[in-house]
Amino acid sequence: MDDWMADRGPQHEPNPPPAPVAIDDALSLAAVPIPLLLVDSGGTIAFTNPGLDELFGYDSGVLAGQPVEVLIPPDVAGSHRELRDAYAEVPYERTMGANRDVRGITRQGEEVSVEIALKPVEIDGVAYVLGSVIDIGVLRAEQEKTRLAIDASASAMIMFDADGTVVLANRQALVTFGYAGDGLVGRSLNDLLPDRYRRRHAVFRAGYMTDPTQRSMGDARELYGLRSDGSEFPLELGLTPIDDQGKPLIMATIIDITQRKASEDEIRRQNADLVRLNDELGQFAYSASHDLKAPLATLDGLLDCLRDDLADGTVDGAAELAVRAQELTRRLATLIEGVLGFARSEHAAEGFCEVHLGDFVETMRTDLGAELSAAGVRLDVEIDPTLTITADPHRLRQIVENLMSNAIKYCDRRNADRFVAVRVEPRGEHVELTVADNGIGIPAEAQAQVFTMFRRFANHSEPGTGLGLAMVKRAVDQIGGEITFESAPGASVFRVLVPRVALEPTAAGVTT
Amino acid sequence: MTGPISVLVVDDDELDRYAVGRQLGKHPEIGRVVEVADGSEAYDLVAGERFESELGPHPPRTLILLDINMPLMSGFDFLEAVEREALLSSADACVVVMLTSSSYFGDRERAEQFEVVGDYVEKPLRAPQIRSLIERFWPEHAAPAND
Repeated sequence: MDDWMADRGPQHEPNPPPAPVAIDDALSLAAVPIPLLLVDSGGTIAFTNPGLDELFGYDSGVLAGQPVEVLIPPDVAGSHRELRDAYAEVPYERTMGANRDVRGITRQGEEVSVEIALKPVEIDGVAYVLGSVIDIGVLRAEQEKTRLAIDASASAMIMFDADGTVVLANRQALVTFGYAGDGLVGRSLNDLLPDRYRRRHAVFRAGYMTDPTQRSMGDARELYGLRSDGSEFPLELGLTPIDDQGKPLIMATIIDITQRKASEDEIRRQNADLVRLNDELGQFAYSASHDLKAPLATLDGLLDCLRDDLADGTVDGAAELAVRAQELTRRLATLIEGVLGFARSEHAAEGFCEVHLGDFVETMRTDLGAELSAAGVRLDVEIDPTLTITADPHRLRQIVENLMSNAIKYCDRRNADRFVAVRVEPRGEHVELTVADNGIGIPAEAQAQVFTMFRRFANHSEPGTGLGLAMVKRAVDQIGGEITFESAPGASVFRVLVPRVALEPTAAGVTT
Repeated sequence: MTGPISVLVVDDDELDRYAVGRQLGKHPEIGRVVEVADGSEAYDLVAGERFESELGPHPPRTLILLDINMPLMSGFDFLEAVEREALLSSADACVVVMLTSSSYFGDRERAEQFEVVGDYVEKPLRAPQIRSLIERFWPEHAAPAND
């Protein structure tokens, strides 16, 4: 509650009361342009000057003899009386209303905002309190307008002094930094900065105070603010020096750029995806001219031979040519399916969920069972069955299925004991997934291009589209993993490092 | 198989080699035909001491039909290796003709950069094309046209 005497200022004992000033001629107070009144120790108004009469709307002289409470709104008049008595016991010089909303009431019942200074005085040996009253209503209204303007700003605005103490903060500043009420005023700027900046900031601020020019920060380097809950946020900062009657102040304008940064990151990521997709498209167009056309050209050549045979009547080889031609059409169909699958796999995503790797690998064993037994390849699995990761199972499947399928496809048939070994091990924040085999290996000269689309290292009579490892590489990239391999005749090992909690899928990786 | 011109077919696709072989067989000017499945095999052959004896008469008149897209050593890799080591350079009787399914203009331009490359033909290679190649490179050996 706002009332006159409750405003005791600092909570320490007042200094010993000074000896009251003796005033010889009370009537000379009438000439002072500031509204004044004299109140005796009983709370009765002894004298008012014309300024005070005018402020409170009374005729000259009528206030004398009335209790001072007539000038105080009824809601606080009661408590005022008690406090006034206490003041009379230990009178001291003081100001009321500085930074406080102190109200008086006029004869017409209107409240006025005032600032009041009290001083104990003595006139003809009698103790009085001399009160000077300033109408601060106009000032308050101006301040209110300024405050409303500052609060209306969408940017956080914080004014601090040369010591880095906050002297003013607008509503958005409270929201941005997560404080309530007057929570920011009086705080050190250090409370608003992450630890790591504090020392540096003190140096910068000192430097800025000696050469304060308006500047914008946060463009060149990344600045962060610290919220009351300890979380950080990226910000853009503008600093404007303000000279408050010789007291240097700085107005900091702060914009929380979390959203902006997130969109920038998103755009950057989308851009990287587009660049990658464009590269893939270029590579695809090139490859299509080589790899999709090749079987057709071959078919064309075989049909030339067949026509020659039919024309010559030498049909012995014709059946064989027809069989080969048919094989080619199937190879081409497989290749086209592969290309379509590759294109589809770019967009197919199931979303992220927890994957039990033990179950996952067993599913792969079942799905690849036919391939395994046809090739006479044994599958060894070494895995902690409780191990889980958070990833898109579809991508994970692309990776593991292709690696296993390759290991089976390129087994060494001269070897009686043919195996594929899948091992999954935790590696800190990652899980390492290994697919090893004792197959024919990738020729050394071909290893640099292993992940390139349509690159195949066995000759064309063996199965494969040249897309499997390209797809693996892409899926690994999409879940934020890494893939490496070592290969020699008789031993190939592909290692995939997958984050336990995989990265959010990129925009191109998810279509909703 | 007694003609004066030898042919080295460099192609990883067995069926392509078969089809080319059939077309080559229609031309009496063609003598020995050697097939290899990859650029590196072709390189080994060309760089080897037995190249001439493998490929026929002295001085050699050899047509190398070279595919581009092969698993280990591509046609371009082969050409670069050959150029780097100045193989085939002394023998203008050796001509490389690219024989590929690629209609990609970049491949054609790239092939033209190699001095030893005499032509660029898209698959499949047909008998009339073989005849015109012979007439261009070895007119003295071209058999009179039958028709």
